[in-house]
Amino acid sequence: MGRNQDATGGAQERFEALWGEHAGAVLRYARRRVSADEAEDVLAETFVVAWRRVEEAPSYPLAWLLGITRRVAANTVRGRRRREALSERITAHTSPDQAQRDAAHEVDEVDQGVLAALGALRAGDRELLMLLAWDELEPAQAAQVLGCSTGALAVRLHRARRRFAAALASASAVDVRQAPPPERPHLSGARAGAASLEADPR
Amino acid sequence: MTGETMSTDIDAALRSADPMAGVSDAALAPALASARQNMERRRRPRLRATRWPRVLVLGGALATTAAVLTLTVGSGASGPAHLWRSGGLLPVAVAADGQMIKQSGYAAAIAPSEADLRLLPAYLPPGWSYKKIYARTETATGWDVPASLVATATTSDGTITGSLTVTGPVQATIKDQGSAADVVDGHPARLFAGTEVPEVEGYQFPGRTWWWSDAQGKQWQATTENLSPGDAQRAVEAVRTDSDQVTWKAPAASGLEVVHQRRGPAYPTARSELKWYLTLNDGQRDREVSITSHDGPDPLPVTAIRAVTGLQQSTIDGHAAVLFPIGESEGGAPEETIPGQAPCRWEDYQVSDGVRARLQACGDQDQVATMLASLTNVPADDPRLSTYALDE
Repeated sequence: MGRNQDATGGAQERFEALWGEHAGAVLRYARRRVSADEAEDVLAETFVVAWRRVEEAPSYPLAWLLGITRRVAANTVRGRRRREALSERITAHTSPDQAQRDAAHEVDEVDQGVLAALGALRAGDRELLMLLAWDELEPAQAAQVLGCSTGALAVRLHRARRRFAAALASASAVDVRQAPPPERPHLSGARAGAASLEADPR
Repeated sequence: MTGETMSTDIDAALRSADPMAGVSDAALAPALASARQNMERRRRPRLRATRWPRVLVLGGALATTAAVLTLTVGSGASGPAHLWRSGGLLPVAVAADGQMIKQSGYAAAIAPSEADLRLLPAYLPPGWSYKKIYARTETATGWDVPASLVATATTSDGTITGSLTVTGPVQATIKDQGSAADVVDGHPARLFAGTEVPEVEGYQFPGRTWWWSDAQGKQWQATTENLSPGDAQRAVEAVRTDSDQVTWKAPAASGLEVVHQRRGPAYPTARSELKWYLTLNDGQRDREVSITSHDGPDPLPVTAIRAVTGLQQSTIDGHAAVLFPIGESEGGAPEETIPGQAPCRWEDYQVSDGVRARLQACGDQDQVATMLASLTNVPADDPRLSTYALDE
């Protein structure tokens, strides 16, 4: 196509570096929030957007990528629910609830107490705790993903922890201090993750 | 319970519940490979051509976090003057499922001194200097070719339940593979069944696509969405073309009504862009300025309807309109933050009609805006054009 190698070759290199270094983290983020099939689509769409905006990629791009992923995943959840609602209205046939179908064949072992406590939180609190604990972001990175200042994030985190502790105590009926670490679960997190996205106004 | 103890216990509880804990990188490899293939299929060479026309927000009428795009019906006049004027009937490519492929036709580097638009700022902020100047022309085909005729079936509340869309005339090569022989308007046609047009995330309903050549040797595409095979066949059987015009009479009891019909000349199938790049340096870092000029005013809005099953059809200024939820999948990137440096943010500027600029502002938005406002079309013999021209 006659593109100048210096201009577009540099962009391609930057893009390949983004993929090589962060595609795994983006996929893990998506798998924690939507179904496995949807997570692949979310990953692909995230990097399509990243390709279009590769010039904007900052020097530390993970938070930037996860910010994109978060919006893509939220759209995926909304689209799935719209599609299911429309199918019910327009056709005589209804389709099984997608989330239920995913949960039925993806749930392996579940830490019911922790996930129930997460599910009881507001979407913003849940997303914040997941970013720090599961996606292992630094607070400054999580602030970028959520679009807030680090100061605001610190306040939100304090409140989210308190609410989670209360919800966990209520869900498990066991004192948090004394609860032994549960067995490591193997759950796609579809149910908790989907709820996390659909209720988040952002 | 001390705050520190609570925090430690909570972190441990959360980490232990991580659904991806114990999932190795090797286990993710197949999913990564599959997603990469998916991404490559969707990825197109980077163009400034927007996938959708500019968003129009309907005031406060729709209280949603998603921006809403309105497409209005063509009035039947000579056609939207602000659509792309060049390109004519450059050939479009057709995918194996019968859909038009949106792609770039060709791109070429041009010497800055030979570009039609040679924009340099009359004002550079203190400490800024030039590094490089280069330009490209890019032509893309198949992008957002408006339909020449659209007929929709709707519920009583305006929800689209099915549609017929006719696009053309275009120039396209249709492969027989993956399609069945049929006849449209007395001409041999190819039928692609099971079409899904993923134009809008979450709105994907079955469709059928026909391609045929008219008496002048130009190609037409008819697509039905969410109609039964029998209804789809009857709808397409009623399509007629005469030179560049398409007509259609609704079959009895089809429920379909025409909401758009082009009366003027055929819509172009290609658009061209001049892309003008300046690499400047602010004394600390490079600032890339990209300027895009369409061959005509920015296409805003496209005055031809696009029917998608499940969306709402309404009326604006007496014209049928379809409301699209855009969502925020391409929302603005957060500010880049590097310790010790001012945060940078990508900004878009409308330089003039049909000309847009994009660059990073790093705490110096006012100076950047002043610089962009000073962009001037310089003579071809301006020495900066040769001094800083990219060696290519």
